[in-house]
Amino acid sequence: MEISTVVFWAILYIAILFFTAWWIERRSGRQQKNLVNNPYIYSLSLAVYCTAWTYFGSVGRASNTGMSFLAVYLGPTLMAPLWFFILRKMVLISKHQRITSIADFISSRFGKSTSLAAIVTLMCVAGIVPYISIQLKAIAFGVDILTDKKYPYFKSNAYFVWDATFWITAAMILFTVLFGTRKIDPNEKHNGLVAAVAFESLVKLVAFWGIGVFVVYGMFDGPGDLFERAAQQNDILQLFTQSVVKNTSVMSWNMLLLLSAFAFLLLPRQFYISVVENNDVQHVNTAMWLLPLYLLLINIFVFPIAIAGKMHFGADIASDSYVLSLPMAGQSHVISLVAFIGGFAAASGMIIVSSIALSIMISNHLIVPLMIQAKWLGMKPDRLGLLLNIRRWSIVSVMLMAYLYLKGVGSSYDLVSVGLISFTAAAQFAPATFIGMYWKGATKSGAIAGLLAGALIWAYCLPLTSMAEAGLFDASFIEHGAFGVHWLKPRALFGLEGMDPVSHAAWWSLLFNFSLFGAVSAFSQPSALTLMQADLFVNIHKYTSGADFDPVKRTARIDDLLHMVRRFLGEKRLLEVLNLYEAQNNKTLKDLKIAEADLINYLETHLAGAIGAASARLMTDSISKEETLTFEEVMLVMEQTQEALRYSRELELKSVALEQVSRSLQDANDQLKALDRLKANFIANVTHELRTPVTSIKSLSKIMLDYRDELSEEKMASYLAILVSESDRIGRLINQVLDIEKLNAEDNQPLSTEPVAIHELIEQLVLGMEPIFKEKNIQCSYQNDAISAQILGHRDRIMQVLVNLVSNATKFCNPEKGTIHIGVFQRDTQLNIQVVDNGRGIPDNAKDMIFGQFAQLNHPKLGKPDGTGLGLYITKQIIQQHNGKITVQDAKGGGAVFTVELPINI
Amino acid sequence: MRDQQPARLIILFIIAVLLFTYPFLSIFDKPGLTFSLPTLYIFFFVVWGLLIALIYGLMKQKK
Repeated sequence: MEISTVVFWAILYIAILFFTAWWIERRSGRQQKNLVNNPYIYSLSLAVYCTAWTYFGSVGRASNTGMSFLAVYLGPTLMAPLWFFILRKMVLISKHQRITSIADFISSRFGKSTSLAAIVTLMCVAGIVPYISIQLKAIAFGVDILTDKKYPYFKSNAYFVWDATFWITAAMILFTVLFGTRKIDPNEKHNGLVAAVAFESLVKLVAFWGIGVFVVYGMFDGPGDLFERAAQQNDILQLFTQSVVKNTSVMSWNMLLLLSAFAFLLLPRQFYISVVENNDVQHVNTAMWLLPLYLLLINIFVFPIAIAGKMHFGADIASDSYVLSLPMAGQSHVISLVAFIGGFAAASGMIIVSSIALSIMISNHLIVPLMIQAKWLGMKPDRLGLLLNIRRWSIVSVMLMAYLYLKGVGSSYDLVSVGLISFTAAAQFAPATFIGMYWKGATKSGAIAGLLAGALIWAYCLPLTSMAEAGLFDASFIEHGAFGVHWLKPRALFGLEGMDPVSHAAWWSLLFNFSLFGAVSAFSQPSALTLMQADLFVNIHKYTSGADFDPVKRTARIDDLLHMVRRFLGEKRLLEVLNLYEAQNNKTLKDLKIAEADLINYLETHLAGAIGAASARLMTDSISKEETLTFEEVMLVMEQTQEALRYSRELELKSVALEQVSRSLQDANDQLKALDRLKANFIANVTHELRTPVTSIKSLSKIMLDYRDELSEEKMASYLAILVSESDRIGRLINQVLDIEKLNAEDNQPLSTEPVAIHELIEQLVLGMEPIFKEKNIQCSYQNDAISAQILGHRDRIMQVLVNLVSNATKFCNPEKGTIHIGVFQRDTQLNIQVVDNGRGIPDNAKDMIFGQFAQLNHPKLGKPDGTGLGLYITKQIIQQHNGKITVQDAKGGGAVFTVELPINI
Repeated sequence: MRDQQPARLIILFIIAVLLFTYPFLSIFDKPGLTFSLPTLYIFFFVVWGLLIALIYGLMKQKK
């Protein structure tokens, strides 16, 4: 086949890919229905798992070791029922935390650790770049076979412009940069890219079936014919079983199942497609059966093709090339081209998604944290463009690294081996990711210890050894162990022999990884932030249902915060995000000076979408103050669970409430005691007051009884008058005690009130007292400046107040030339009633006392005045019932002024 | 009614793991043909298909 034909079809295919991506992007740009938001597209895009390894490598492996290749696809299938728990949880957490990569996920779980993110990123780069390079190689290899190796461009000694692989790399870079870095926030979804990946999955499946049908039905007479003919050859019959049934192959099979089950979720490209680009967590439910179905379909022809190739070519050509060589041998150009395009789709899908996933990690977890630490990000307003450029250059450098690796190292080993090396690298993330999602006690130190141990063993046993075997450096350590220590032999570490290299490395690295992760976690204390994130990861369902909790209280100046976020998200996106926040929380941010923790957290998660959780944490930390942990938060760290905190918080609240209750009970008790004392005093006073008149009545009555014959008529009359007046006095006293009891009883009930015109009451009163004034020769004047004012009150009670005050005045005014003045006026909303007399006044030290019970002023000469001593007490009680107050001052020129203030009824 | 779906999925997972690993696998891990196809090949794809059908059934059952 001519090179021009191959190049033409390759370019046409890439053009279709570009068009698909562009068309989908344009649709979502126009707010049309998002075709990618669909469980079938999601499941197809997950099939990016099937790379050139599946397409070419599986056939190669099947022709050497039988059906062991199937473990790589059965692993994810076996795991699929558990995606319902694990993958869905990963998606929920990542949506909540705006996670952008597997490194971001692990770092977020362990307190947004920058170092952890960097470790994971470096492991991914080391594990995936060779894998990308082998995909590039597969494409070049395909061109080579199709053109019968007629063209020297594909020889390994040519570089850059003279090398077809370079142009393939360049095309991949162009596509990835165009459709993978359109937006900065990976949570915005790259719909065009996902559509292209799903399209590629469809292409490789259809192409592989094309080859399969062509080989099985075109070159043979159906599968029965193929296998029956194959069964005649003893060496091929061997392949019908798991090759050599020994312990080693059992071990390899199990290990391969485990590695692929892990890798399907943890490889950077798988995490990116299945978690970061997921549009809806419900899509996982469909992928759980559809993706295994895809894997079954794409694998169904692998074994027949391998057997056919083996029978057709024997050991003549590399078994990795059967997929292309068989159609070529079958003289079908169309099928050959279809096979090539299918392989191209398988390889390019992996290259594109892997390099995006790696570039996000490199820029977010290596470059941006370094720039933050070195303060290179500066205070320039717009950092959005810079971030996108960092990501673009990361893509370019990942691809160039892969290219250079291919040219320098990679041509020496096969697809499956390189793929398995990167599977083993990805499997190292399993303890931190999966256990971290279900065990809150896992700590950052544990994760770092486990990952470093796993990475070290992995690097030593797999890539380093492979490179040494390829002749890059001295390989003597393989035979004799590093530094000549025999138990450090990379194929027989610690003396464990008889396993294949991948199982051996996976076994030791996962053993140390898992053990250190668990042991160090169990013996270390998580930080408050790790604990908070741990709770979020483990109990994500609680957080997605709305509740939120943040023990580390942070505050920041809102200007700083917005300025910083604006630089990474851009003005437009920031406004959208802020509007959303305001709408969700019913708050306005306009006049806010200080941002509270929830706003900082909210913006931090959006920032994390752009630069990763660890970097976002660093950025927000640089401008925010953390408040010292409160007692409860220290409790949290000590108790290790938030439940404990909540519980202790509740307890504390309860104890505070209890304290309050007991304090108010104490107060009530004190009040009761005081009341009791008052009551006792009152009764003592009342009985005392009663005894005086009773004594005098008794003694006078006895005199009158004993001397009834001797007493003159006159004397008798004056005694009887005293008896009447003393009885009056008792009657008054009893009435007043009853009044007080009534007032006390009503204390707790609202007074029945009506509008009362004071003016009427006073006129009525003055009229009624006219005879008394006359008798005592008292001048009474009355002036009202607020005739229309009314108060809200109990008419009889108010009358009682007025009577008490005026009759007191008549009692105490000047006995010869008594004057009483009643004045009413308004001050603000208060109505003031003054009763002024011209008596001897009230001494300053008695002014408070006279409103008490049984308070009477004894005059040195005149003795005890006429009255019970309860009048003013009752008056004050009534005034207080009406929300008013009563005071007493000295009048000008002697005498007393009683002032009653009552609120006016408006 | 109690939601049985999680438990069913976990039990399916455990049974599937037992079916696709040794020693169960060694029953079919023999040279020779069944219905003109390699025995192990038949076993893998039939059980694989059944497993997919069961997951499908469990996921469709709800809603």
